[in-house]
Amino acid sequence: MNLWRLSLAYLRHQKLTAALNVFLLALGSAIIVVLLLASTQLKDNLVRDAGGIDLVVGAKGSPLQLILSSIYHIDAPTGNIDLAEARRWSRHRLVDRAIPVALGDSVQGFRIVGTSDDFRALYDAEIANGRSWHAPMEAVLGAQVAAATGLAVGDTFAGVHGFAASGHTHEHSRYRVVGVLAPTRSVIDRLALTDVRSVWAIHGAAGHDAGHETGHGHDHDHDHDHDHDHDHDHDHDHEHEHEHEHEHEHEHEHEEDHADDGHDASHHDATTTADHTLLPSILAPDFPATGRQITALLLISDSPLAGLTLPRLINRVSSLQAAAPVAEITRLLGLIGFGLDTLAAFAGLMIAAAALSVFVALYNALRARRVDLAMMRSLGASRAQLLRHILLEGQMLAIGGVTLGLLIGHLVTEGLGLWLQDAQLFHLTGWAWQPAEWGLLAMAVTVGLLAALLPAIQAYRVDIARTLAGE
Amino acid sequence: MLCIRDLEHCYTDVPVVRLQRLDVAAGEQLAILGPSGSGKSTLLHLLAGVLTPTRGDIRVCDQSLAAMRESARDRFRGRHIGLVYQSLHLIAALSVADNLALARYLAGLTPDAARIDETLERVGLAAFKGSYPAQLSQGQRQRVALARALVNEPRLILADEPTSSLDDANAERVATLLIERARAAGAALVVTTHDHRLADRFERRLVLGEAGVVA
Repeated sequence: MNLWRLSLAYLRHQKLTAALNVFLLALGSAIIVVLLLASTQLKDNLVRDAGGIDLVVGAKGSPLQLILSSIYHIDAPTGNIDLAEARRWSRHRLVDRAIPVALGDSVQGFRIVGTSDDFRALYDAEIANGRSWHAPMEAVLGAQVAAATGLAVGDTFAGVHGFAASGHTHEHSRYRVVGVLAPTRSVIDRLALTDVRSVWAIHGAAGHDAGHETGHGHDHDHDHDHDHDHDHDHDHDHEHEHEHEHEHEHEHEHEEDHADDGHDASHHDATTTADHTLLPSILAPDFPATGRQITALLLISDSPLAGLTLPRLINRVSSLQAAAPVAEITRLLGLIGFGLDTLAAFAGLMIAAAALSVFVALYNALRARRVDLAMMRSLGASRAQLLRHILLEGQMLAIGGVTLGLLIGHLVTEGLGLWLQDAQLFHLTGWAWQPAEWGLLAMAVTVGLLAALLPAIQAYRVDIARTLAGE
Repeated sequence: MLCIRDLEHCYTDVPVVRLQRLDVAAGEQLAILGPSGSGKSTLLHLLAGVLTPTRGDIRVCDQSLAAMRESARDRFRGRHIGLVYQSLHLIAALSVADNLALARYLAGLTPDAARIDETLERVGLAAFKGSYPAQLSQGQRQRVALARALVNEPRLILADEPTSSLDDANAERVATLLIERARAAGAALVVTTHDHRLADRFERRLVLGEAGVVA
């Protein structure tokens, strides 16, 4: 027998009351734990997905929308920008690296991103299987895309227009999977990467050029651009017919390609690797930009000035807008943070209610236990022992409640994480510990102490003779 | 063992207990008799050191209770005085065995499961060690309270009306246990009672009259 067992015996004796108090405390602290874990991990995710990108240049519109669409891939793009103008900014002296992004299609709900090979470096995404693309219509899948769609190197798939799971399918030009990325726990896991030229090939008139490039090489681009300009001059009906003819040619070409692959894939790979390979940058000064568009341009700068100077410059001088991911994340978290604060305040209120409930339970129990306490004194207990006995009981309730709350909070967060994984939102895990959780435990000790203090002092003051005789 | 000299205790200036001289030797047994309100319980509380007398001195085992500091007196009472209250005051949250274990713990004695079992055996409750007070009959509860008073091997056993709420058979059994166990342990036994079933078994009796003054 000791004070621990004694306090525990009293809690067991009042099972329902003790359970209610523990439950109240657990609920309040579990909410705080979930908020804590979710908000810090959300921020970590947002920062990691920003991949060190300092600035995003895109069409005018909401800067938050621009960031959400071209970095986090969770909103519709603001529009397209002319490649020529984008290229002008990519060559600015404050810009160290520029990566184009062309959006528009998806595969089974995962976005297809037309970009350059540099994109992978933003997220340190290694190719786990296969290789990067060497030609338009070749695609490299993020780990989650490969896992969810079941597509592997060598498979082909058709892009779906738009970002919904179903929609108009671009059956006329299928992508071929040439690589699969290793998981990175960032947004790239949920993307299918390809060259910007693939997106051009599928959308609009520029597509014909890209298609031809596969067969003829880059030198002819210029001529085809002229074709493309002509297309625009035609009225709509004509253009449509024109496209139709081209589509037929296109399919033929592709079938031939596939035949080649089927018979001698290794040979094909060998030659392309030897040829070396990566397509020339569309941002290179000698690349014909006329009439071509991309969705956004991701800029990386080593200069601390870039974050201040460039957006002002770009927003004022050009028809484009520049948005800084860090600023937008901060703004977004500020908006979410308001909701989180409200929830946290609610959880705090719950803990306060729980503390009050612990107090009332101990206080009421003490009235019934005065006799027990007096008896303990007459059995040899000192006043200090009784004080400790009651304080201990408060501590047990509080620490028990918060410990249970921590457990529930982590389990719920992990459950949310598993659920969000299916929803393709962000990576959330319950198996992480925030230093602030120590604060929660410290708070438990304080709450237990405060709730038990008055009853404990009453226990300390119990008059043995009067209590035992006063019946 | 127990020496009282010039004891007087007052509630608001009215003396409730006045006792010139009382000595109880080790192994001796004394019944304090008197009608209700004659100050029997108050006298017992004074002897236990639960109450401090207004005047006079009480010595137990040659130690003056009044001279001790409160916490020392608590500890002394736990070690050397076994108390059986009229309304038992068993801890409902604890099992029978744990009630005894608590008495040892609070007295600062080592936990001794064998000694607890033995004590329960002697009062015929070995089979009920895991039961809770609420599951026992009044007679059984009275014997648990008795066992709790005995488990620390006290030098002085004080019992306040230990049989008054029991039927004849149980009163007989408890009275016998109390007298025999005290004798076996060589402890001094003082009971207060107005129950003649118990009082008749004591050779030495002290009768308190009106206002606790020895008649």
